[in-house]
Amino acid sequence: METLDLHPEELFDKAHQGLASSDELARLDAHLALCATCRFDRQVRLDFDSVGGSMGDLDDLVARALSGAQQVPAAPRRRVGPLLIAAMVGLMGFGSFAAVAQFTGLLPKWLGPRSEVVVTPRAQRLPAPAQVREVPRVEEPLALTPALSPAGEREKVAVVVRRAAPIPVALPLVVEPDAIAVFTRATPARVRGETATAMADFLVVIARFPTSPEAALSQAALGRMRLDRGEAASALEAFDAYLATNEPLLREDVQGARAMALQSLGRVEAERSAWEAVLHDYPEGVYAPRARSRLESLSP
Amino acid sequence: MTTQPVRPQVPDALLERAVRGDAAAIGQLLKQLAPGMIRASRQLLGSSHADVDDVVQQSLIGLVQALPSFRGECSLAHFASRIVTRTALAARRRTALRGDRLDDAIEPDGFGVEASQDAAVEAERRRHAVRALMERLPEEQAETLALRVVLGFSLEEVAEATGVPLNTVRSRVRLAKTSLKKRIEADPRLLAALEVE
Repeated sequence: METLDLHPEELFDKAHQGLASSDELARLDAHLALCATCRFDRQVRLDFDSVGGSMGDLDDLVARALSGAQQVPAAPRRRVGPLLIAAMVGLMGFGSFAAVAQFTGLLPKWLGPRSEVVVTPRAQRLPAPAQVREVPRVEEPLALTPALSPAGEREKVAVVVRRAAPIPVALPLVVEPDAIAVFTRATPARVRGETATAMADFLVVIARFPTSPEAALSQAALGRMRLDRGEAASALEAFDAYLATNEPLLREDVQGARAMALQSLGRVEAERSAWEAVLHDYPEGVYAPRARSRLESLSP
Repeated sequence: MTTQPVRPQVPDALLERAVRGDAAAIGQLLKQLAPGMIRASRQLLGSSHADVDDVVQQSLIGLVQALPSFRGECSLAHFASRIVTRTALAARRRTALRGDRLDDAIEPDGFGVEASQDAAVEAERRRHAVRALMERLPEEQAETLALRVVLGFSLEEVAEATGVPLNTVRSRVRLAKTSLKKRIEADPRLLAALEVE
């Protein structure tokens, strides 16, 4: 966890209620100077606070609610008690049965002791470096059996019997920056206009943490930066890579930006499809007016 | 800082009569609470969202039906706010699933095009970001974010309204803010606006 993730929520409340001392206000200001999330939080509260509008006919509203409450039956309360009791009785019964069966030796097959035979390709048995983790204690390799890998190459496979509980093994600990750290470093660099630094860091995230959510977000950021630099083709690659993930956070923006990249490339049909997809997925989204306008221009 | 949200104080006698099922008292009580609930619905959904009125109506009905179970662990206004919040979040998730979101359209000045200097558009963009995030967060975090950031509850008020320990609220706020941070950092328009503050 980063220091900036520890947001002084109590101080915000005290300041909001006018109860903060000058020292506390100074601490709050110091935090706000560093923390974009809290600046956003403070600003967006003001934004939400400004939402208003007319109240309409309250008498009518209340009358309809009262009438509705009489017509709509209240949702039944969930009765979890009986279910819990039934589950506990079931578990106790099963436990008793298992104990008796074990005592008498009349164990059904599916309750019998399992020998934990683990077949592990050698290549997968090596623990990842730079971590402290539990490694299963491996005893008595019984056989080394050749097996065919999907590629057709012979690969040695060890059949081992796991007999003992895993024991902790300390491996050399090397602290490496994680995806969030690199991504967090890249973003301010991008804002400061240090394009090369930011792009390098986004590429590091993509290369080293390819399955992390930050890798997907990095693809989106990279695509946007490339688009800004007029590199529409490579921007398109990054946007496609983002859309191939399941990351939902920037999907709408990336779809819109992808359509703009296609526009820059002059790929009319692909652009048309992209804007249609934007309209289909986000008919009232931020890119919808642009999509309609472009589709109008592109229509024969 | 934001202004304190308007939370009407409901007289105890009126509340007692309403909890006992006195129709006149319930009507009077709903009239006091309805404006806050309408506003909360607009804040949570966006003023132009098609479900604003339905959410208010459902929430008022839900409030009437829940009154007998109200034990006074929090103020009735907070109780009502929580009902609106849950109803509105459910509505947002439903519309998001249907893909027919109808709220707060913003001018498209996204990636690679000039940002709008219009303060109202920027404010709507920020609100939009928070609402969109609430659709994607786990329900408990979304509810906490809604009560705290959208409706302006203090940590204690969120804990009272949701009936969970204060530390749980702190944890949910922190997790929600981590997601918010990612959302902000990933959106150059939001981030740029904050940097030049």
